Amino acid sequence: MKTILNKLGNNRGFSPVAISLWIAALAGLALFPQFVDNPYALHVMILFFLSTIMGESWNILGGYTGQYSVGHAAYFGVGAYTTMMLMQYRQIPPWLGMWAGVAVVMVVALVIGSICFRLRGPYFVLASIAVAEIMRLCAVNLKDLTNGAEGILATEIPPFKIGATVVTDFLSKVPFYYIGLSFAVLTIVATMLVQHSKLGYYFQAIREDQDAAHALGISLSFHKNVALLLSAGFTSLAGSFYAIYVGFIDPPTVLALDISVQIVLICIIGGIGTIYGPVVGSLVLVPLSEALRSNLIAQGIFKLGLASEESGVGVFLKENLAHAHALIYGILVVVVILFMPDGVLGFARKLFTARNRGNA
Amino acid sequence: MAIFLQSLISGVLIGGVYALIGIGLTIIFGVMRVINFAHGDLMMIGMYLTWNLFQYFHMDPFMSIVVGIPAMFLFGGLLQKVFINRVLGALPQNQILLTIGLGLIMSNAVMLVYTSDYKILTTRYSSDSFKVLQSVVNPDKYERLYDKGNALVAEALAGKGGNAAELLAKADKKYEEALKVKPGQFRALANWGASLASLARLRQGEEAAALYARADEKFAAAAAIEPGDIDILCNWAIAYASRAATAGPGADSLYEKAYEKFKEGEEARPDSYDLFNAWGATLYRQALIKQGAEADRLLAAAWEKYRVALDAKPVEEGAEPVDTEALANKPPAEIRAALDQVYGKFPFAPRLKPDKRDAGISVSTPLAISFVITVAITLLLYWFLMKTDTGQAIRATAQDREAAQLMGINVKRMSILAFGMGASLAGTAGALVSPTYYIFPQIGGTFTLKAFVITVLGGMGSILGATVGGIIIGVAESLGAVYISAGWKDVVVYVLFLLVLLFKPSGLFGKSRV
Repeated sequence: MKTILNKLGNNRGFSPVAISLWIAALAGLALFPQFVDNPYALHVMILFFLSTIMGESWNILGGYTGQYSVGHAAYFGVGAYTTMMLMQYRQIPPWLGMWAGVAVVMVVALVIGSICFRLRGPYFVLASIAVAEIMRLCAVNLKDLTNGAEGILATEIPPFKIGATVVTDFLSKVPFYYIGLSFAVLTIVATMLVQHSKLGYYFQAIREDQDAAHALGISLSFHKNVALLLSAGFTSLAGSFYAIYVGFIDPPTVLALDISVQIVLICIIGGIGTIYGPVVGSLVLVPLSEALRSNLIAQGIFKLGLASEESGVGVFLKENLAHAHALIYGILVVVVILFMPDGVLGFARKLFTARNRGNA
Repeated sequence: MAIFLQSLISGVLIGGVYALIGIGLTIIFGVMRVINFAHGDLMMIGMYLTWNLFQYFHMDPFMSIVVGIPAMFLFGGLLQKVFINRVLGALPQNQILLTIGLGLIMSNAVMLVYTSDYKILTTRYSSDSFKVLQSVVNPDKYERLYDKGNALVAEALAGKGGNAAELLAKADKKYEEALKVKPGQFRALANWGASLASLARLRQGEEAAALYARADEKFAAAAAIEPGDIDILCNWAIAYASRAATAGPGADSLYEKAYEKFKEGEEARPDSYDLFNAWGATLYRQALIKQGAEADRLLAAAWEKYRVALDAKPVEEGAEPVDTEALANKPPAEIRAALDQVYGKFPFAPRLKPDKRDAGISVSTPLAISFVITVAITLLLYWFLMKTDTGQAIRATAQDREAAQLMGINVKRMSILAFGMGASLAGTAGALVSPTYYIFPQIGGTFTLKAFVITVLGGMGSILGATVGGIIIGVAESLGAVYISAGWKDVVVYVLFLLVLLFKPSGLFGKSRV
């Protein structure tokens, strides 16, 4: 177990163990829909992929470069809106529209970056929030362009064809599953490549000490902007994917501060600045919030006999636990920050090193 | 000019509350260097506290701060001791995330208990307002006199002023002066006539007759300028009717004159509820002094007018429209009984045409009260921080934590104090806006962002800065809402925020550069 953790977590290239684990995981995930056709299971998996993409993309800027953006909803939302608007008003299919979304988001990110990267620390955080709020208010107020607070509903997704053969018509959840999976793998691989590249080392140098990095000749604004472009681009893909999958977007669901906070939480809970941190964060958050939302936890409590379904407590739990997922998020964050500031992954690693020392 | 002043004043009033929120945030930041992302949620807790005290203990929202301030102080101190204290040395991002987490817990816990429904706290003064600066906003001498006259008459008619006759006599002078400044204003003439007729109703004998005659003259002059104005004709007719009621033998000819005016009014507008209602009442009144067939004829005519009035009356939402056809062809006795009910106490008082121009600046009463409380609290806070030992210790901690510690100041206690103060200021702000805002669990987010904007604008850690920043943001929002649009007012605020961050990150009153 120790070797696996070391191989997976440390930055020492790829070992045969890691590669074989990767292949096994990929094969398992690729075959998953062949064996499981329960739509709800697929839905949870898709949400897991989405959350992983969001977390990994934030991680490039927040985790590796140390720029704590709490305004990533701007990129998520602009990507989602561009794809949806192109599809609904210009009949451009979403698999083309989402790349247009990435392009638009990158332009937006450059503007935002040129404003926000002049600031540091808490001021950068505040500026990133303000910019995202401006984007949300624009989406609410520019009614002619975005349909305002009513949002955009996708009437129909055109079938995806190569030549004359229909590859998929997006009627089941399976195509979304594979799109989500491939994007998640794409972002993880991209993060790995970045981490082990010269660029990645520059990013980490900026994170550790901006002034020292600057003194060593690393251009701060250039590298911060590169990190933002990568991060925003992937976040935009997540936004577009969400828009097509759910089929409806409006300012509160894709541009609100909640989305930005949620993106940061995925990384905080898993572990910031690690490749698998966002994956672990999603593994914790997505099943937990789904279990709460579908009242699985309340039913579990009744089955275990901890509370009876008819009692006052039981009724309260049944009615309210479904709305409690944000409360649980809050409690998780507080617990993680106070007791495991390096996230679940960092905490686990610390536990193992402590045990190894004890053994030795 | 009036619109500008109006939005300026309401901006300053709401800015006072913003300043309270900002001061709380800035004290916390000054002492602990922690940006409190749960600040708006503390305010939300204050709002719910106030709502509960109002709902279950019938405590006035402004009085409830007596309970709210100590309660929120304890709550904030507890939060500091249990949570914030542990991350004081941690990375700033971890501090931020901790407070975000605490905010999420607060808003969602409140949502679990109270659901996300909007709560409204309605006091009897919630929608009250009063007017200020009438003379500044209406620099025109005529307008000023005319408005003053109208205000006097309105007061006299409402019966609030006590001595109605005195008020009306004053109004008489105002209209006279107004028309001297600018002759030939038909609205002033008409209102003058109405005020004279009202005054005449309060007098007797010769004096009343003279006043009625003057009223008659004014109405005639007004109608000559604006023939067919329904309000003039209606008031004129009512003046004749009320004169006839006290005239004794010569009543019939006065009634005839009243009917003449009603008919002119009907030609001008055949569907005026006020006109037909008064017409019916006049006919009924005349019927009372007649006997036999003549009385029956008048009552039937009054009934007819009453039905037309009912037809013209705008149906209120939710109410059934009256089926006036069903009221036709009733026996005279029934008509008489019905009319006794309807017109038995009809007041033959002229109505003042409410003026279309909104003279003066309207100030919302709850906002004005909250502003006064805000100013008092801010002054108290300044005194506390500047003059008391504890206040100086807090300021010393904010200036240099380590040096303060070396000087023997218990910085841990100061931190708890500061967070408690911040929380109680936020809670107070929540209590002060609760009569004017919707109360719901997610309202905190907006105010957290506003608090940031205010503190950054004024300079992080500067209390004077937060006070001025709050007022500036309040005014910017209110002017933005009027001159750009309500939807874009927050954008104005955020753009202002970004500009300050970029060009003067230390804020207006900040000492240290970022």
